[in-house]
Amino acid sequence: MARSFHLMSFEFKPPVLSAGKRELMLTQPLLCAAGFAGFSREAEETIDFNHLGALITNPISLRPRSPARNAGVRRVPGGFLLHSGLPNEGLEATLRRHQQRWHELPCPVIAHIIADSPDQLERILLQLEAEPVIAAVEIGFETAALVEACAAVAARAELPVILRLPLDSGAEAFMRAADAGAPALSMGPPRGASDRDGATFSGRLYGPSLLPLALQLTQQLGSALAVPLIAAGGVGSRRDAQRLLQVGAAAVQLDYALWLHPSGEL
Amino acid sequence: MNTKHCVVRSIGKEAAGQASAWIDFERALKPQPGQIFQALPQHAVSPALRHTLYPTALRQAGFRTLLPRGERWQPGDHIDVWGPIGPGFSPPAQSRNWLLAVVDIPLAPLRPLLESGRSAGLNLAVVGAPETATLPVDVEVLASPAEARGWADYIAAAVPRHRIDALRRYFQLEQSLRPACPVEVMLVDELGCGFGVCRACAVSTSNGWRLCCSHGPIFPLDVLRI
Repeated sequence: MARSFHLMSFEFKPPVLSAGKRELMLTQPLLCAAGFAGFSREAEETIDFNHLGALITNPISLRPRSPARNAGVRRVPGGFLLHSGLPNEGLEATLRRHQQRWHELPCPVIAHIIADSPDQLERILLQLEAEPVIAAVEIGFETAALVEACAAVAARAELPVILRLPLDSGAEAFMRAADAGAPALSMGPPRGASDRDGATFSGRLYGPSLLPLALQLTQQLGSALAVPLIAAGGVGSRRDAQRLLQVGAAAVQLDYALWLHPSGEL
Repeated sequence: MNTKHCVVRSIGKEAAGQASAWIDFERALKPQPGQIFQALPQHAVSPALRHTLYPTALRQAGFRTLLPRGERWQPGDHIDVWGPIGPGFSPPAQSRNWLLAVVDIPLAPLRPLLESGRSAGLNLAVVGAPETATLPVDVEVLASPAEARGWADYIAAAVPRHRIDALRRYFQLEQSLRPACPVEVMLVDELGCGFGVCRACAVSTSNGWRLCCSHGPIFPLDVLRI
């Protein structure tokens, strides 16, 4: 039985993500974070897409990527680290395989992409702009190094582009990205490491321990930003999501909560 | 994958001394040796991830599993269980001489296969297991895989995923070298989503990449490219 995420009683003002020729209105406040619901319909028996504001796809790169040799998951207090290497078939193969499936989804599709440079981002955006089923793009950054240059590219795009910065980048990094032209911003997982049995494992950090960071950042940025901010990190309950919306998030991404209780309510 | 509401029937100890739990299914299932589960206790406070369980004994009514690290389950606890995951081990139908091998872990995840082999009256040998004193008397204990050369017509191994090279060294196999008989490897590791979306369990194989939660966690050794 697919899981329902509908926030029934909460007042939500649908944000509009705008770009040159297209805009996307998120009619539901909850989106699935990249990497947590697949590329298209893989999770449809588990997750009810009818009540999601959008599917954010697994990360897609221009060229195919293989799984990391040391991929895996490691529990840490308050959450877990996840490292996959972001395996995917590459942009063209992904579009070919999933295009039809995207048309069949009841919610908009936001393509999450990996780009190594502003030029590569521009190339990917040009290709995605030709796909009417792609409603928006999210680009993930590990560090702040390329953010401002990519924000300028995103500002010129025909599609709405969301720049995802790690939660631990700090409010100033988000403000600079917005000032550089980012049409919308979202919060991504920070990176961390864990030592066990003499081996170090590094990956992206998820789990309830991130909620205080997400909440603080949203409070700091919520009213200061002129662009929509999509909060994420540590959301494990309806109350968590509502709180983030109350303090200024335009929408909220769900990550680990999507996996935990397939037959229950958030 | 459906959620099964299960109950912890009892807490005990495995042969190597680790705590284990016997979990009763709400209705009878027939998991196969090598199939695994994910589980989340209903009493969990602020959980982040389901536990990945590698059964150490199987019955239609339930299964026994090592207690996840740091967990304290009690008889009567309600556990939500997902699975069984994966197709399980696939020994060749004509095979009669099985070698079961572990590297860096106890024999526990291979015990269901061991019992399956004993039930079928097969010839069984074990190598690498620390808990040999508790093995049935009809199971031979070998000092090294070399002793099974020319005898074993099927090898089942279990190893932490990041120690697969150690398994190859143990069997003195280069990555490209085809073993003398079918070798299946259970990659023991924590799963993420458990239903094929996170790709944290993806492994490279000669047929492209595969997911432990969907296609594994058991793979022929000669197709793995990790």
